[in-house]
Amino acid sequence: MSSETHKTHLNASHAKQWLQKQLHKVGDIEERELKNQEDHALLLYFKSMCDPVVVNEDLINRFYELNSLKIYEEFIRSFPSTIEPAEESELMRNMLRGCVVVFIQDRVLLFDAVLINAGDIQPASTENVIQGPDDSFTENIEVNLNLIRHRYQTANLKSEFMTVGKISQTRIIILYDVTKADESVLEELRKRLSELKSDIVQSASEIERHTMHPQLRLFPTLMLTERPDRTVMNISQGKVAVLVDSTGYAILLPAIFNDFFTAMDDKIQLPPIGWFLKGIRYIALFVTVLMPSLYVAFTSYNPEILKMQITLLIAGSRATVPYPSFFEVIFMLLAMEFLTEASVRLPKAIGQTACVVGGLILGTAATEAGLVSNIMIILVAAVAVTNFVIPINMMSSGIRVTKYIFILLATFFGLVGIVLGVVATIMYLTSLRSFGKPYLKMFAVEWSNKGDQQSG
Amino acid sequence: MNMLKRRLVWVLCCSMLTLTLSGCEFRDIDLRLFVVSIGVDVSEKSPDLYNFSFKISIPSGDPKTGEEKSLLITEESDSIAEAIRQVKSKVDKELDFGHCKGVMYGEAYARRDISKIEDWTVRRRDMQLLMYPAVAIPTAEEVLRAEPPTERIAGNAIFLALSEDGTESPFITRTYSFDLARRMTEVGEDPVMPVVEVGEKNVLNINKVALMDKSKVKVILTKDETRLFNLLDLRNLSTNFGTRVDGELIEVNTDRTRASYKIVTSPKGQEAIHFRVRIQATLEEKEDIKLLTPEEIKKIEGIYNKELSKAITDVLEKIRKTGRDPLGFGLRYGGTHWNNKTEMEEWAAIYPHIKFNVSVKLRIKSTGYKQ
Repeated sequence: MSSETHKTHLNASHAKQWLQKQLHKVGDIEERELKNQEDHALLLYFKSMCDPVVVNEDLINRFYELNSLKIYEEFIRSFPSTIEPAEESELMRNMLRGCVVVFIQDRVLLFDAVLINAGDIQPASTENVIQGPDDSFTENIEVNLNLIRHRYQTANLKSEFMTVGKISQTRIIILYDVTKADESVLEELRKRLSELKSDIVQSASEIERHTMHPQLRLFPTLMLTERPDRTVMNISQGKVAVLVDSTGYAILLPAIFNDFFTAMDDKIQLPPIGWFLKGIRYIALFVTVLMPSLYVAFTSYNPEILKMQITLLIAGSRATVPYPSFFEVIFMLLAMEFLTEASVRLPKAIGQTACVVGGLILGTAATEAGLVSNIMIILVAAVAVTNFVIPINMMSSGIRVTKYIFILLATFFGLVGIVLGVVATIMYLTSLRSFGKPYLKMFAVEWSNKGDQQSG
Repeated sequence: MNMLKRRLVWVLCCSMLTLTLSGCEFRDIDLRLFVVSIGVDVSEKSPDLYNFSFKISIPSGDPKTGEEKSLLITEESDSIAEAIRQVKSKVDKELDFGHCKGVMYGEAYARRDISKIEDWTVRRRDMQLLMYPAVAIPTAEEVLRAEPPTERIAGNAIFLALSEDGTESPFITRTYSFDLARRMTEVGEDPVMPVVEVGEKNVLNINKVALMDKSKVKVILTKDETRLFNLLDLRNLSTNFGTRVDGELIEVNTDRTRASYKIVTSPKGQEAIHFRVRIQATLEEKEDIKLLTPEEIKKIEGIYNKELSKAITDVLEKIRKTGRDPLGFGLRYGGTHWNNKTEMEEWAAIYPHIKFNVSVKLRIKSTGYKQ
């Protein structure tokens, strides 16, 4: 935006008065008057939002170095992000963002001196890979955009800037490859984002929650990722990425069920190994969801399905257990959930201790005391481990909750309940839509135009 | 949304409450006793009474010790339903027949009529249809009481043998209860059952087959006849055949066997069944250690073909003389003829005088000799 596009500009004295009124009792405002023999200028900015080096170098030093106010004004205007605001609200908004308001005679200019407090690019913490790029998104949207553009060097990568949140004014960027992305998805996304009504948007998951329907659901229909390489791969498959400022995550949409079982390792490994890894994740999905409920069904309703050896083994190890099987399962699983939750929240040093102590109590002491059966310990361990095999955290949390529904079904209806549960889950998943795309469609890319990538 | 949340919390609370209300109908695995096999014998007291034996497996707490415990309860009663109710009052837990995998019919009982119990086992909901029925000698109770030293789980030894999951003996004729029930009503095919004997030192010996006249045992074949019967009945029977060539003992081990037959109905009055038996074998044992030449192998094969043809013809004729049809010739005849009304009557007229032409082709694939 250059000043030429504005026919009108603000009256400096009015603007100054208006600002001073608005900024009454705001402590971190800086009002500095620059004076030499004949001229004077006024700088007004938030100390906390502006880079003092930039202000000193480009505004204060130059004022005394340059001979006339005219040249000084031209100098400020020469910066690409300098704005001449058309109205007071624009003035205010940019000031809050980190611009310095420069009053030169009757002119008001906004000079961009935004202080960016972004850390370095950190290695990914929730989506680890063994061999592959380690970068993850930072809290700064510009850096994130840079990370993506760096990997996807084409002018087809379009970026649309928006702000959401009435108070937080969070900046978001919609990124897509114009030759590949589906226009209907984009339309839908723009519509939903503009309908977003919350005051504060602080994380990508909030956007996820507010834009998706139905609001109450167990499985994520938008992908949250912290990996630029995953984002780039998805964009190249025609998906849309939404970068959100001040969070280290991007949203990818539309997302299908299979995406949540894809790790970036799959592409790094040789194809058969990649398929094997993905197969393992699906096996893990079934184990973690069905094992506890199958235990309940087998021990309480249908022991004849198991082999006799296992039946007697379970019966023998359950001989001392004083309560029914579903109590045993729920207690042990809850204990495991407590451990998991505690180890996430606790500082690393204490977390380890808590896990060891908890694991010992659960594993050894509980069986030796005869409170739970040996088989149960194996089962809980298998369930816990397989749950963490699912690479995307949002999905693995959803699965974590799903298994309790199955336990409940098994408790009331036995094996029939589990079968019904599986059927119902599949029906539910097929009914879900992610921005109009069927959720349980197993391969994100059509077979007809399949390249070397299938899903992400 | 709020309404939905409130309703969800309500449902969750209710279900948590109901979980605590598990009644006495909810029986976990540790409150059940697994009956692993049932035995039926005639009672000495009265012809209307039977001795029903139930072998119950008791789970041991520690699987590593390998000790197996079982309980054998014998009840005298006129019906099995009644006997079960009586047993129920003798044990502290619920009887579960879900793992009942064997019914032993005592020989005396099996020679009378097994249809009542067989019907019960396929009728009852919790009984599996792939149970292993067998004739027990001397009595079912004795067989169930036997605990072979190799057994790790109560009652398992007999199933491992009868199912051929464990040992693979050419003398065991595997029979499932669904198959027994089918053959008992099938026209043209008669049931067979393996015979289990209690041997010395608690060892179970299963090496005979009982041919049945629909619901009662008619004749029990000998060990060697059983092997030949299995050779005709099954494919790829793994067994040995011994013979003497010039006074020297020779044993072959069969790799592949295949028996097929054709019923020839013309000319009338001279109906015959052409049996073709193909055997591929390796030479396993021989007294003379010198190498064999191809001619000698041909000679051994020739001797085998002659001897086996004779032995098989003898077995088939013995079976025919009993009037039973365990190999299902009649079913084949009926299945390949169109005159539905009269075909079985025709077969009944043909079968007593039918001829068996057996041609055995044994091929020694390898001398088993490594140089």
